[in-house]
Amino acid sequence: MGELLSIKNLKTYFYTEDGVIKAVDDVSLTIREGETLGVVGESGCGKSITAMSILKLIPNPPGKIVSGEIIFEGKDLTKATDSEIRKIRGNKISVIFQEPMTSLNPVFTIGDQIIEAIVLHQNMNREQAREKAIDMLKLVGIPRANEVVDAYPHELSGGMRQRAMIAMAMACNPKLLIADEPTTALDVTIQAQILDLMRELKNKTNTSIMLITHDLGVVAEMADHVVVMYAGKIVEEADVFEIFKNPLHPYTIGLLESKPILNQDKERLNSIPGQVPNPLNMPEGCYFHPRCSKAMDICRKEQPKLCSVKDGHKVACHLYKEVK
Amino acid sequence: MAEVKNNLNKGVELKGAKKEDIMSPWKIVRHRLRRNKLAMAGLYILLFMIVVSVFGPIVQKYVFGITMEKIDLYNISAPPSLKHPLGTDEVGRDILTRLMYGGRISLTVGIVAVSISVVIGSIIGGISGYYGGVVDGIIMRFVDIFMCFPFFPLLLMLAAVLSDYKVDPKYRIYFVMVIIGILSWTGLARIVRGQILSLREQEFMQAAEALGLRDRRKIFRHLLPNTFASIIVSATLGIGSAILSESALSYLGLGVTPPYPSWGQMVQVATDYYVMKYEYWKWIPPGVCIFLTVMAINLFGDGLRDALDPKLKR
Amino acid sequence: MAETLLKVENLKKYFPIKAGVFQRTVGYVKAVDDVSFELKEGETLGFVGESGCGKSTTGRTILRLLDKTDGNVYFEGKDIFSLSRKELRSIRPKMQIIFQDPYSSLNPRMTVGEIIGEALVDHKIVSKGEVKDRVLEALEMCGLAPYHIRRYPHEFSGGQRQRIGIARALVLNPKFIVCDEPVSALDVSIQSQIVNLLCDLQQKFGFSYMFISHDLSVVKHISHRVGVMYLGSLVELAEKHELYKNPLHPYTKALLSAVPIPDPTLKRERIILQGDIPSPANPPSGCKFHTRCPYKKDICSQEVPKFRDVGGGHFVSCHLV
Repeated sequence: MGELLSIKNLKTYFYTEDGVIKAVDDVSLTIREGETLGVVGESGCGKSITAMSILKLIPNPPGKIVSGEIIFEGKDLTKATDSEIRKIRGNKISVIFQEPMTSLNPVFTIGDQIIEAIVLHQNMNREQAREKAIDMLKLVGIPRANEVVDAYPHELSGGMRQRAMIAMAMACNPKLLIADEPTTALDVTIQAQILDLMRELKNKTNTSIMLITHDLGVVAEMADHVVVMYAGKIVEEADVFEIFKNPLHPYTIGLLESKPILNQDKERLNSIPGQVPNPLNMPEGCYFHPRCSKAMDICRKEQPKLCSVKDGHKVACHLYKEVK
Repeated sequence: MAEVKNNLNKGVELKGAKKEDIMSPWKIVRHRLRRNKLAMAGLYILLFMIVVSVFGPIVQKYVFGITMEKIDLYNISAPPSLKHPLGTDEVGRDILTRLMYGGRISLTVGIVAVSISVVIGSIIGGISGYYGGVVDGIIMRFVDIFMCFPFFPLLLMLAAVLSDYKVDPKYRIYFVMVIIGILSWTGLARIVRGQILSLREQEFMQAAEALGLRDRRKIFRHLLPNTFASIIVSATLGIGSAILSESALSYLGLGVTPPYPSWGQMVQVATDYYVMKYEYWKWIPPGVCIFLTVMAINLFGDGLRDALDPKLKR
Repeated sequence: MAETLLKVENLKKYFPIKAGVFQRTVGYVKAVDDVSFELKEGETLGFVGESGCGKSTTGRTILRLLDKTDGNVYFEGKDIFSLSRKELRSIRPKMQIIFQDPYSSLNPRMTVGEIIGEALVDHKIVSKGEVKDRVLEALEMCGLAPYHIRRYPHEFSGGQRQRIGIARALVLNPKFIVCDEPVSALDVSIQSQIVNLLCDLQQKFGFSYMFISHDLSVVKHISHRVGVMYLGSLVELAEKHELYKNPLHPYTKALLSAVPIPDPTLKRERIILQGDIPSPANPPSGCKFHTRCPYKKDICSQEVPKFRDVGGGHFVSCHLV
């Protein structure tokens, strides 16, 4: 599998009245072709900002990509002009957002919005684009696709809207699909439908997916490779089997243990004490040390680097030694 | 049990704050307001106007022996001089003193008229929002009808009636305040009603119900304090428009009448072509005063709105 | 087990749909449609279901925060809906609620101390001098520090606000607490703190909880018995291990199989339901689930299945069982 997208030392900061928020702080990751990368973390850990940085969707001001490279098909997207980015957006890289209602324009029909994307990026006239739009709606499992194509977003249910969003995102056969919490707003049975659909589409089209979520269950089901983020930094990275079987970073371990699991019984949940640190007032040293039960002196002084401790397993923690 | 307690206490620290530095909601508003330079400029201009209007006439009277009615026969329609920094009017009265006195009247009109509309508007809006249903329907239709009256023609008409009944100029001004107040409560009633309707849906109101709190407490501790913000903003902005209404009325000779001055009435002299062209000192200062005061109020009101509504922060 | 604390019989709550200039009622949203169950002292009864299934409305109607359409609710043997306003007010402290949204559930203009102590003052439960002591005690129980008493809600994070909400209920010494999605708005690492806190408090004070959530794993962890709701009706209710090991209703089966499990090596047979949840304003005839049920028979679209005990306190409403 070749590399499709690689992010190197990305830093995206927000300059607010109260100070600088380092939303993404020196993040490097790689997405290979046909791979699903799961990005996990709690709210405010920078997982969405990382994804939005790829397509330069950061509101500026106050946000700004301060440094780093985002290499997609040999080109650095951080240096791309607005018109170059627009050619990539919705064409080679598409996004599905958490709340489908707010990301679909309520005054246009579903069809109009898909057709617009197709006409814009592909060499098709409106007639052909409409055909393609109906095909896409069928592909994502929407019944009565030739009627739904003329429906307005509010006429569809939440699950159907998310399907329509996926149809729109997939219409131009993107190389990379960024799915930002695609099922968080949906009910479990609908979530199962959407996840199933995404898996199926991925197998059909060989699109890479960057799946951003806080739900470890979803990651376990969907992802090939997992990145765990905390306070703007990657704390652990490994393939999906390794991370669930052999988590190393205390934060990852805490996350896994704090969630009740349906097929297991626990007397008491293990919880990570304390709160996510205030982004304006990060602790010295390792950002996780105030909540870490294994914190040592060095953790309070020095920030650990993300280093490889095993083949394909990277962790940023002073407890582990780098293996060359 | 001790173990349980230990577990309960495990690691809850307040995010990034020192122990003694409590930020009450009003403190935050003050803090935000202070960072808004335009709003602060508005506030200072306004404070300046108030101080000068309140204390100016006293200083003039006891220090310089000039009152607003005192006629200086040697200086009729005189341009600015050391004795009369802003000149005199056509009967020889000191314009600066009249301006200060006019400021008193304009600001009083603004504040009293708005107080009247705030009282009526909050009570009616509050009742409408709290009881909802049929009560709300009837009150709001009444407000709709009230809003259909053309404000300014009605104002003119009522003022004309006052003139007809030959009300003493001394009391006229109070009638003007009441009329403006009574005609302008509807907007506020709607704002308060909307606020209360949305507050009632907030979960803390449901919590208050679940706690079994008395109605009195629910209204005075939970509902009202949360509507203050929007009432204050719309009252502040309302003072500006009340001052403008009074100025317009007085300019047309239907508001404050001589010998009592008001800014609008003082500008009236500019209807005379000669005064307009050659005696600028008679009408420019009151015009500037109206402009500055209303602008200051609007700047401050907008700043206040931004400070009170965290959603507009960015 | 202990005595029955709460008994709900055939509870119905319909919301009228109004339309037109004269706001005539053109139909009803049947948010809660014939729900019956009992809750024992010291027990946690979990309620799961998807959005719009009426689980929150059930919780709020039981507390008479909403008026019922039909049915009865008995709390300690008293019919909640026959109480006068005054009687209701005096019984309120015994039944409390914890809300989902830690932001809108606390009045932004009151300090934490006022929020927690307010009801003590209003009900004159303790003397004025004692209020502060009780508030401090409640803060400590909920893992907050004494100096938090003078602070305002906006200074706290979501998890801490939820602790304040719990302290507000706790200080009144209630018997029964409705927990309406108390952890759904929180991050995973904070969720477990709150779940543990609720468990510890129950152990200490013997509260009964009605725990409402859409998260089946959390409900399973915290509850003794679990009820599953679909479109306003309870479809299945059983002891939790029984329910999760041996689900009888096809909807429960589908729901359980749809929950993602954080174990990539696990391969499960998944039942994927077709279609969406029908609108509660116009629910299907017969068994409400028949439009999406993979095992549906003719009878399902014609007759409403009875909610009945199929043995050992396992209630289910399905024609196939």
